[in-house]
Amino acid sequence: MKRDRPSLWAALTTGVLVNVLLRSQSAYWPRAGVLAALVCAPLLAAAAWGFARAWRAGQSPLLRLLFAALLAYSAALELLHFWALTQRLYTGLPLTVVCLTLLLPGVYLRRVSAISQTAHVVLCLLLLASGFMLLTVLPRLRITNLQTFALQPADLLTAAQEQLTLYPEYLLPALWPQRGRQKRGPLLRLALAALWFDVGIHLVLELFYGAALPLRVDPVHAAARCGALSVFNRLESLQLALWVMALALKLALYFYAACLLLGQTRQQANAVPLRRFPLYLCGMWALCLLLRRADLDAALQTRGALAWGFAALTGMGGAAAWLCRKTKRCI
Amino acid sequence: MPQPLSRSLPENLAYLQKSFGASGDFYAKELAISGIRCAIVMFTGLSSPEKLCHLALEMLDRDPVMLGGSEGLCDYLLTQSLTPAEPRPVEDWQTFTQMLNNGMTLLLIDGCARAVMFSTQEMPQRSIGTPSGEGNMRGSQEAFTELLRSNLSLLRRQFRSGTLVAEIATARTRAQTEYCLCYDSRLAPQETVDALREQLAQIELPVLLDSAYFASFLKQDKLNLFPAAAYTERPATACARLCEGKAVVLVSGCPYALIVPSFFAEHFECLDDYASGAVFAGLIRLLKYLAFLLAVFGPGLYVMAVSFAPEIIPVQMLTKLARAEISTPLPPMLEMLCVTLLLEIVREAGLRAPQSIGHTVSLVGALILGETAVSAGIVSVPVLTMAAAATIATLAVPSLYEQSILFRFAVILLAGAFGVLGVACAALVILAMACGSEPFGYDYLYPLMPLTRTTWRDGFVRSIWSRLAGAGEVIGRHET
Repeated sequence: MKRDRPSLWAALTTGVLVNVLLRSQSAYWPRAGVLAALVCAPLLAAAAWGFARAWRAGQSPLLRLLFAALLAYSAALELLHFWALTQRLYTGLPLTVVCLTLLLPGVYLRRVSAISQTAHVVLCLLLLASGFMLLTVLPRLRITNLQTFALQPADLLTAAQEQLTLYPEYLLPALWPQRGRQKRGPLLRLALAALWFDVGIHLVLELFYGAALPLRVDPVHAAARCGALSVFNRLESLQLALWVMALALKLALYFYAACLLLGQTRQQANAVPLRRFPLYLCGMWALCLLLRRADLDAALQTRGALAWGFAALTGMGGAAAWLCRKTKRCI
Repeated sequence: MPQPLSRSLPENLAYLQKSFGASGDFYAKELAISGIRCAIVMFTGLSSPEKLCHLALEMLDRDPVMLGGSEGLCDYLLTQSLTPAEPRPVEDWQTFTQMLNNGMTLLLIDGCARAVMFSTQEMPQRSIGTPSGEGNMRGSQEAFTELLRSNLSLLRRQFRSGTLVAEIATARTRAQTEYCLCYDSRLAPQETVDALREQLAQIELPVLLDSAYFASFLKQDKLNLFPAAAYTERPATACARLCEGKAVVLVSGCPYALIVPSFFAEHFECLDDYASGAVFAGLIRLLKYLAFLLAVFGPGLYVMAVSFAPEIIPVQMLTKLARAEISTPLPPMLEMLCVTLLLEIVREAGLRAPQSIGHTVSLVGALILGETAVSAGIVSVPVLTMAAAATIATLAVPSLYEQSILFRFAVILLAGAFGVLGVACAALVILAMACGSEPFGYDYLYPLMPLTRTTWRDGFVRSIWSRLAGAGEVIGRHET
């Protein structure tokens, strides 16, 4: 009942799960995904672990600035990605509205404890809603929809490429290494949760759409639309509301992390000062306006490449710092 | 440094005359005890001269002649005499004034720089009544009153353990209002009590008329709308909270006790929950949570569904809603806002108006305005029904009334402006507010979140008494 060093793992998990739900197109066939996940989950966890070690060993102001820039870029892409989804669903919804509704909750998500506790609730609701959606579309799932063609190496490669996207959530634990009671192998658990959830959703979608799976736009949302209840006809509004909540939480986490990176004092480490929020809101809105005409798919791929590049750069920096220390000791 | 009393009686009396001489209720009388010049001083509205005469003066007349002069008389009264004098003398004017205002009678002795206090309070007070704002069918029906000492005695009568500590202090206000910090020294976490004591001592206010004045100072995040403390007018509820290791603050002149730390789930609990069966109590509690959700989100969801997502409404219902909405000139958001505002105005008018016309206000508001607005086609029946249902649902959780109303308006505005996104944004803001509250470092959502056994023992529902008794929830234990 007493708040003692709240854990942010629920927020990180929510962040990686919402990536799966908001995907505009299915990425791979589930069978390929299962095989790829066996390799990709340990790889992602290893990359995140290596990044955390290197970050602690050799972080520098330049790297901190780069990390903050990566987070800002990711946040803008998430906003634009969601805006593109809402454009398809509610034509004419302005980008400003999307920015406002997704960033406004950040005012109350400035404390670590608020992020942590809210993430637990949102994660719980998200999983419940996903389960509920599954129940309501259960009569429409057909075993016969499962594809039986032989998997090609290209299928496996596509799945691995998709699963090896290094989201900032894998890098963020490096910033708060000793928060809360940690279970063993938290990074591996995070990667496994994200990839198995992704594979699970793809399996449901394959059972739902069959061979048409790769052709569907916003497949999860479209599946949610078919769910029926006795009182309310469709469930997509419920799903959408929860995705908005999860995404807003993810953006608040990025904001908190960016503030940590950009020189927050030790006293302020548990909360972001309110005075920084208007700057964040206006900055994100301006960045979104700047990137609104960019090709979103290409930008997302660039983000993935940038994240890997940044992790590699940090790794090299960490290795160099470690070598320097060793050399100094020897001398 | 407080100004000390003078050894000279005329000087002391002159000082008092200068300070209180203009007051009609100030009473000072010179007299001689064992040949030594003395004076008794009191406020007649707070102390009783008859009581003083009966308790002390008659007895003093029978006491032997003093040998030690003025100091000897003072020492004799403080330590040896049978008169019921307070054991500590008053030595400075600040304490003197404070004690006079507390209803004490003070005896000034010529040649002695100390005054002797007699507890002769006789203050007019409201008799102990039944709680007006916390309806309960079972349990004690006593309510706190305005008198601090009386409230303390009510609390001590319920909580008969020797571990009950009642620390009385004077608030830093112009009126020097007293308050009392009560806690169980064995159950309440020491760091919580220390932090609370320190915070209360530092609060500076021009006036302290209600215990709620303290609450804003105890809030960590001033933007957070959820209350930092709970209130009760029932000594029984205060006693129950003391047993959970919480602290109770009583303020002189206020019949509501402040309870800290306070958790979200407490607003959905009442004494009847524990007096009735576990199954029924659990059902009622769940209904209260549903009522809160309906009060906050009901009108907003209606506006969202009608304006942005009509496809989620079943066709038959949608046809009826469309027929009702088409005949009204205002869009659903404005319609809902107007009706909700009107209901609030009616409620406020009914509350503030003199009792004799209060019923008329309610009748005019509810029947005539509602009926005519619908017949004139200004508002639709579904909107009126939803607004009325939300207003009634608010009353199921009265302690969160303010929050329900504010949240409801925010949800209606956001839902009307941005649809599903607006509702989601509002829901997350409310959730973040609840999760971000940290009353004295504790989780505001305890025991509801994170989900543990306690959630089902005494959270969303309550378990049977044998299990509750075994667990004995106390804050500060089972810390994560």
